This record gives sequence, structure tokens and C-alpha cells, in this order.
Amino acid sequence: MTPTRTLLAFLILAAAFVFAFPETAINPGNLSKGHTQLAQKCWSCHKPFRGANSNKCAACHKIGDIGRVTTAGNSLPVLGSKRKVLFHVGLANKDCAACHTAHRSGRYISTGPRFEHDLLLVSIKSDCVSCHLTQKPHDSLHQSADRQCGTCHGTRGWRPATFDHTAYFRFDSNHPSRCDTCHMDSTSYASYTCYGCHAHTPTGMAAAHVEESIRNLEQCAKCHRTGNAEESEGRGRH
Amino acid sequence: MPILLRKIVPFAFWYLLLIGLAIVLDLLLHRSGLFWIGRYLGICGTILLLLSFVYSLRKRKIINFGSPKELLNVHEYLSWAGVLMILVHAGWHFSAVLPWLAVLLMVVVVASGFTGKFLLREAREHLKVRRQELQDAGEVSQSDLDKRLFLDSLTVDLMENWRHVHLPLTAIFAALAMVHIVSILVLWKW
Repeated sequence: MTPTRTLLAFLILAAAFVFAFPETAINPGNLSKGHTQLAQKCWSCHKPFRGANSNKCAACHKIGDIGRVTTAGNSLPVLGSKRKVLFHVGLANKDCAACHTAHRSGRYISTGPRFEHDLLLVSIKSDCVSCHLTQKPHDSLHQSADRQCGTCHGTRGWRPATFDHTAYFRFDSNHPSRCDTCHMDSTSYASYTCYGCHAHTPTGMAAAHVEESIRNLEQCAKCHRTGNAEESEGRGRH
Repeated sequence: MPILLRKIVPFAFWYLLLIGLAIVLDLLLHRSGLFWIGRYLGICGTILLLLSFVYSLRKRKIINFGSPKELLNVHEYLSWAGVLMILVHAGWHFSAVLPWLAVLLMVVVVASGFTGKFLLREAREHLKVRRQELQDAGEVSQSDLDKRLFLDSLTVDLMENWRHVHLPLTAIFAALAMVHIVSILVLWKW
């Protein structure tokens, strides 16, 4: 058999294989749990030359129901005291495949845009806790913060965060930014201590402040906003 | 030293380098989060493989430009680079049978190509020199010569058939690759 005839013969065989067993032949990854019954029905989700089509997704996943009820009509559990925000309704561009893939290895085959906070309506975007309630730490700093996580955090990740500690105390080489150096109780960032370092002892501080009649020797940062003793603001005389 | 041992080393080196490099590149792309590049490497690799077939067109006189010897060199280098890219593109994913069959065949086609490049060419030359050496060493009868060179001659005879493997397997690989490409064009969103 000539190479050309071999090519044509196997072209026909391979095409027949694809039509008969598409899941085995060309499936790029197992389908997610809820889509397994569609394994042999590529056209349930795909449109020729258009990929996975959002309108076809919406035929089962009603946009207004996402996060509220399942495709079978069963109610989804409420998250904490608040229901998870139904942001899909407000998405400007309802391109499901931009964030979701039903194939397990979709991460490796998709190069499209992923979820971006910019896709959200401003009202939803500014209410971070409506989605991130369970991720909010239980320490006093975060509990006292409002719902505007964006004041300190970016949308790419919780870290790095940009909490401005300078308003309370300015870090320097002798006073590094490691929280537990001063804040021994991780549930309350309102409490701290400057004692424990070689230069800071209650006896030493009492002796150094007695002339100024300063008796509050626990709240050092009330007067000393920096590590420089000369820069005190004189607010601890009582 | 028999041809099989003398020539198998460079053969294995280039073959294993191809496979090893593909694994390393794939790992690096995944570790650095740049795995999406693999998709485009598939396209680049396919283009290189198509370009390498200019040699086949020249050999069959479908085109008349270029020296066949130079085009054969180009065919070898472009194929090697194209196959490397396609191996990275394929990665370590076994979900779809058809593309993986294509990759498997491609690897076998490369092995048969290397047989032509490294083994057969060198083996023919080696056998010729060896025969001459034995003849120069003294009066050796034809039957004695054949007996001494039996293993080498058998190896060369077997390798002479490499083209009968290389061409049909290339055709089957091309058929599977074409169906894979068409299925992607039809089902993927571009």
C-alpha cells in the first residue's frame, strides 16, 4: 500500500473512531461530576467552530439560579448568616468558559481569561465579605475592619497586604514588621508589649520615665511612634 | 566491535536527548505556570514538520528547487525540533486516545528516521571498510569473508528495510494528527 493510500485509509478509520467513541478518542479530560452523562454528547455543550457555548450552559444552569438552587431545582445551603452573593447575574460578559471548564484537564488547555474581580458589578465588587465571609480571620484587627478588604488587600491574593502600621508605630531595623514580636495575643492586635527585648524592661523604663512623672509604662506607642526615644510625643503622663 | 554496539550509542543519545528534553521543558513550563505555551508549541511543531516535508516533495520530484542532500539535512533538523515541540505540547496527558496514538507513532517514526540517519548510513560504510580490511589482510575466501561478516551483513540487511517502516508509519501518524487538528478546530473556541 502506498503512503498516500495508507494515509487515506487511516484518516477514514480515525474519523470513524472519533464519531463512534468521541469520549475515548478526543476527550481532553474527564468531565466534572455533574456533566458525566454528557460524555458522548459533545454537541450538548459545544458549537461547531465556537467551542463551549454559554447559551448551551444556560439551558441547564439558569443564571439567576446559580448559587441559589441546583440544576435539579434543589435549594443550596445558605452560607453562614448570609447567602453567598449571586454575582453571576450581574456579570457584564456572560462567557462561562472564561472561568469554568467541564473537562478535568481544562486548566492545561485553556488560555482564556480567568475570573477577574473587574467582571463584577461595582456594588458586588465593593462588598468583599459577601463572597469572602468564611475567609475573614477571627483576630481583632480583621473583626474590627469593615467590609472593604481592598483597603489593605489586592484582588490577586490576600498577600501581600498593605496595612499602614505607621499610624501606630513605624518599623525600623531594630523593630521589624513581624507581628508576634510585639503582639503576643494573635486574637487582639490592640494589645502589644515592648518588653521582652534586651533594652526594654519595666524597671529600666520606670527609671527612665520617673523624672517626667510618666506612669503609664505599658502603652509605649502612645508616645513613641518610632523606635527613636527622642521622638516621643508626650502623651503618657497619667 | 559490532555495528550494533558501535552505532547504537549516538542513536540512543539523540533519541534520549529528544525525549529527556521534552520531559524537562514540560516540567519547567508547568512549574512556572506557563503550561499554556504548550498549546502553541503544538502549532509551531506542526508547521516545522510540514516544512520538513519539502524534502519528500523534492525527492519525489514534485518540486525542483534545492539540493536533495541539503534538504535531507533540513528534514532531519526540522523534524527533530518539530517533534520536540509536539512532545512538550502532548505532555503527560492520557485522556484522549487518538492524539496519544499519534504521539506514540510519531516517536516510532522518529526512531525509524534515526535508523536511516545514524545506523544505516554508517553501517553501510562500516561494512564496506571492514570487508576491505579483511581482504587487504590476506587471502580470505569469499565464504570465509561472508562467515566473518555474517552478523554485520544481517544487521545492515535488516536496517535496509527501515524505509518500509518509516513511510507508512509517517502516513498513519499524519492521518491521526490531521483528525486531532480537525477535532480541535471544530470543538475549540478560537
